[in-house]
Amino acid sequence: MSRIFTSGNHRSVLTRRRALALTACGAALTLGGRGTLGSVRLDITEGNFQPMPIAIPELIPGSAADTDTAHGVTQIITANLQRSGLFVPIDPSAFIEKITNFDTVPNFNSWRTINAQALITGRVTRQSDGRLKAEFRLWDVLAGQQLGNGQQYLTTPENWRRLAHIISDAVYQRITGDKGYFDTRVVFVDETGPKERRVKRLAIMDQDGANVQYLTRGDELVLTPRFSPSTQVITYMAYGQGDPRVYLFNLTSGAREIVGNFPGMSFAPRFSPDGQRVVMSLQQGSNANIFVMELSSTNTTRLTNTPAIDTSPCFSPDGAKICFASDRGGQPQIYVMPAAGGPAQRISFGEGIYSTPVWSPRGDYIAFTKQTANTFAIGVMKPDGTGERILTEGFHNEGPTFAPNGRVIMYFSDQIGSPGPSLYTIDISGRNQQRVPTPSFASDPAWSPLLS
Amino acid sequence: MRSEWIISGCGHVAIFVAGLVTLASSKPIPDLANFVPVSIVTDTDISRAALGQKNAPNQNKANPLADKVDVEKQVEQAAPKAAAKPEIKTDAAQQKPQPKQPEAKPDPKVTEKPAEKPEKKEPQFKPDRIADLLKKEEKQKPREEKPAQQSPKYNASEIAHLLDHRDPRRELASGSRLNQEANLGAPNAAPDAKLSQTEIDALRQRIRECWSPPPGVDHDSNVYVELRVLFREDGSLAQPPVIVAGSASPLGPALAESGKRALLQCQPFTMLKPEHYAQWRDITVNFNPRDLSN
Repeated sequence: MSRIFTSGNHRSVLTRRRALALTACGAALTLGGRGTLGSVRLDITEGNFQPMPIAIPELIPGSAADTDTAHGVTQIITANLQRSGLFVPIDPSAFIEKITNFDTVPNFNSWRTINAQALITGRVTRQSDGRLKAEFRLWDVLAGQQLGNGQQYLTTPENWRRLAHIISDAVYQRITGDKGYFDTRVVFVDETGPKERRVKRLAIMDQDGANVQYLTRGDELVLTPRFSPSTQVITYMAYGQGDPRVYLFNLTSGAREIVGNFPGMSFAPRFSPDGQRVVMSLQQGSNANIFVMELSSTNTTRLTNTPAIDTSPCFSPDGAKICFASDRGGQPQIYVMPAAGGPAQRISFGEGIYSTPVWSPRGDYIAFTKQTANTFAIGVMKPDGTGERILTEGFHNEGPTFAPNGRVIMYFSDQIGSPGPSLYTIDISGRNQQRVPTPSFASDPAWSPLLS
Repeated sequence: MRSEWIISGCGHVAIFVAGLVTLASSKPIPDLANFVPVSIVTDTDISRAALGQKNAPNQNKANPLADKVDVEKQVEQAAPKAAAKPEIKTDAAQQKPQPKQPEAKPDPKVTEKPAEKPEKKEPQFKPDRIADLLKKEEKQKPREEKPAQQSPKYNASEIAHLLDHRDPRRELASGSRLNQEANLGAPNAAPDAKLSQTEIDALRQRIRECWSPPPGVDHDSNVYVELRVLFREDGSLAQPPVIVAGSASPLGPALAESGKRALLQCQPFTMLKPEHYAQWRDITVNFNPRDLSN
């Protein structure tokens, strides 16, 4: 029956209703005339995006001892959804109904009254084995029904923030249709001290700025950290003694090692989508070329061979192509080539200098830094070079990195007169620019994949 | 000769200059956005709509009667029952005057049915008598007489129930549900009183304004979902929209829910005119983000 509805505009002459009517009334029914029962069919192909008003009442503590945790989880969910720009959490003081029982259906009318479209209810309980359990349900207030199934998550009490991020991701995914990005971390370069003697340490934190940890002591200069898409390993460039080198750092063990053993400097490393290879630039005289190294065997393959500086390589998410920046045409521009090397195709043609290209995990965009006479902009373009859009422009913006769902870009930005850079996020739509809290100045962010 | 040329030339130049000035200062065409969509209504449209409305009252009377059957009216129901059935036929045919013809038809049916059924359940009772009773009632129809004629063992209401074979059409209903049944014929309009393009466009425009597409979809998501929407006559939704088709996609649920929210949030859709209700009471809305700008 449903096929009838899927077909073209006026094929629905024999609708279900009509079929029933015919059966019921027999041949005596001699309804004629088109349109009498042929249902009207409307195509809605455009919309009007509005952030969704969502009510997030305090999660119910399983016992009095869980009150603080329940409150904290509620706060984090609210902050996450608000920061995404896709939700508008409703001020709790407007709530009419107080949710006291997780197992009953809320009174939808009292939530409709305050214009909530979605409602989250939840409970946080400490288990007898010491673990923390969080449960939640998402309700569609207008339709008066639950969206999806309720979920529950268990973790150790120290990890309570992750519970909140996981719940936020589940809500985000259910409403937007896209995977979330809240249960993620960001590795970045923490900068302290005066401009002349800046100490740069590698640091890692949750995407919302919590749980900052420092990975290096600050006795060497670190740059361009990048997450492995599949393992708890990061790669970065550091100036130790002598030439800058590409390192691997294992987040779980804290061990670090130099990638390969090359004469001259190596820089701009990035993992392949499977995490098995690292692509980077190696200096050769006054030129730089792109090489890929198999991590297990340390076999290295040259991908470009030009008398130019080829740098900032980045794999496409399917691993088939690599985008990179090169000044082979005079000014640095963005090029795309097959992952095994071969002819490269220039995709950026605008005025100015293009650098730091990075391929979206969704595959639909390449983000870049674009430098014109006196501004640095962050922009995106399609992998074929069309559809270039500038998302933000200013005194100094650089180093875009995509959230794992490809919807949000983080970058670092210096304002005129500011003593140091800060991290910001912006949607790929160009809306919703937000500062990311960091303990001090910060640069070179790299977003992790989803942790769960 | 030359002066004629000069005069002619001057004249043309004057006209040209005048044209430049006047045309430039004439009113510009108003902004397209301010246009009011107009649909042309012809005489026939109006007369057809009127045709439909003439029929409508008959329908509306018939339905409430059917619902009141449950109130104890006893045997008398045979008449309305019989009248209700043929009424559909006449209405569907759209031209015959309704109430008069049917009364001739029911007689044979009515007399036969009681003859068989009560026999099994109540042996003491003579079926012929019911037939007689029924015939009398149909000729006279005085309500007060019936109770008087009942014998003590004669359970008229029970027979009335047995007689009544209209179960599918007899649900107790109220409010807008009464009118739903009328869809078997076009209750309020002749079959070709058309829903105007203006109404359809206005409805589409309203839904478009109300629809906040899930951010996960964009114009090349290649997903769609079709919702069937049943309306009440006041333009509100008779029930939550139902998914009738859609593409298999992880984005599907979010897309369908956003469509439902748009429809639920923006009801009632008052741009839909009651006289065309028969045509907009059941609408299929296809949410397809192919033109979303991103």
